[in-house]
Amino acid sequence: MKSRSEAPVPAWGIGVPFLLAAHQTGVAVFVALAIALAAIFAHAALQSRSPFVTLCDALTIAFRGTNLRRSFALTALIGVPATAFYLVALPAERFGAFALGALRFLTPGDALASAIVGFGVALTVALNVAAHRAHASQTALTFGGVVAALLPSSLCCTSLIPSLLAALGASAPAVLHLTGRFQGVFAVYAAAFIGFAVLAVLTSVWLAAFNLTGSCATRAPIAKEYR
Amino acid sequence: MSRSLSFFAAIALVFGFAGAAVASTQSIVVGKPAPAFTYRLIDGKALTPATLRGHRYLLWVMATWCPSCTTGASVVADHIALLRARHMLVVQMEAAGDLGYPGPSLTSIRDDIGEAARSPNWFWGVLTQEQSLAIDPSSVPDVYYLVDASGRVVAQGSAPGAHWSDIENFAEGR
Repeated sequence: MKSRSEAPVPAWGIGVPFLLAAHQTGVAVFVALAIALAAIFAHAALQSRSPFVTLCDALTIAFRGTNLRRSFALTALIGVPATAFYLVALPAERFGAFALGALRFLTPGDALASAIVGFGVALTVALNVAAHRAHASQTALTFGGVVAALLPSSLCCTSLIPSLLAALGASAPAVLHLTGRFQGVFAVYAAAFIGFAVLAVLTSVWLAAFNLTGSCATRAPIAKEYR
Repeated sequence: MSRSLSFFAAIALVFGFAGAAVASTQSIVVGKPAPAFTYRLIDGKALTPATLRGHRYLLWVMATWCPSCTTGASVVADHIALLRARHMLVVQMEAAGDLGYPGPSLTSIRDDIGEAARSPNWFWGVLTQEQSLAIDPSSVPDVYYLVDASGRVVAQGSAPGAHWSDIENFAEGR
């Protein structure tokens, strides 16, 4: 049984300042990839397992036999629309509207982040479905990644925060001093938020793979196959 | 439960009264005349209502940390010559206090845009607190108004870069 302290999340702490310093999506994505790899290797070493073997085993279990069609369908059905959504959502912050016109402002970093988050979420679901059990902690982590990726484009330069405050009864003077600070933070740290999303999704994939290969039910067939 | 409700009601009332006090000054409403403000420009000059009179103009409130605002400025730069040919002005104003979050200076943004930003029909300035509350009461960065030659506000929108066709149609008189 995996305890919460064994999760790779504490290893993020070392890399988080670097992520916050990244002001371009491409840089944030590569920083997030480096942190995720470091965290995964550290976690695997603590568990005396090889990250490569663990991932290969998990993919073998998820994408073979009776699981094959379902896993491919899940990965495609979730991954393709999710990636398409992010391809528009990430540059929408610079464009000023969630519309196809935002694609003109798509950067390679945005495209990479979209593919990682979109297909990462899809793969996590496929791995979890293959394991026939979902752990609350993994679901939360994936959900966190999705939310983190959506925050900048939802909160900066839109009327979302002023609308929420207006709904709570706050009017102009209060809004003037509050909303700019909120929206400014999301605008300035947009790249870091996307980096956190990438980090969260990659960690989710790893945890799903780790748990899938760690269960007695799924270990036996793999062992039989390698025998 | 009732104490919580009373607390929130009191907060709403306080904010509501403060807002009403400010709203009693000039405000901007589509279909009504634009407020006759004198705007402070970053080159030290003032843009008076007399200068704007008789011109169609784009009144645009932005924050310097807002990514879509800087994108919008580059879109305006691409079309500023066309707007000048149509005798249309652009009044680009930074919200008071940059809406509460520090960003780069408006001068640096104008310099990044290049020569087009110095077009005589493009005015760059900073709103006072009163002007900010009147023109951008929701404190949303990147909000704009289209004002016709009679000084009446005919449209409101956000992100000129994303809605350029509307602005161009206005410039062309369509």
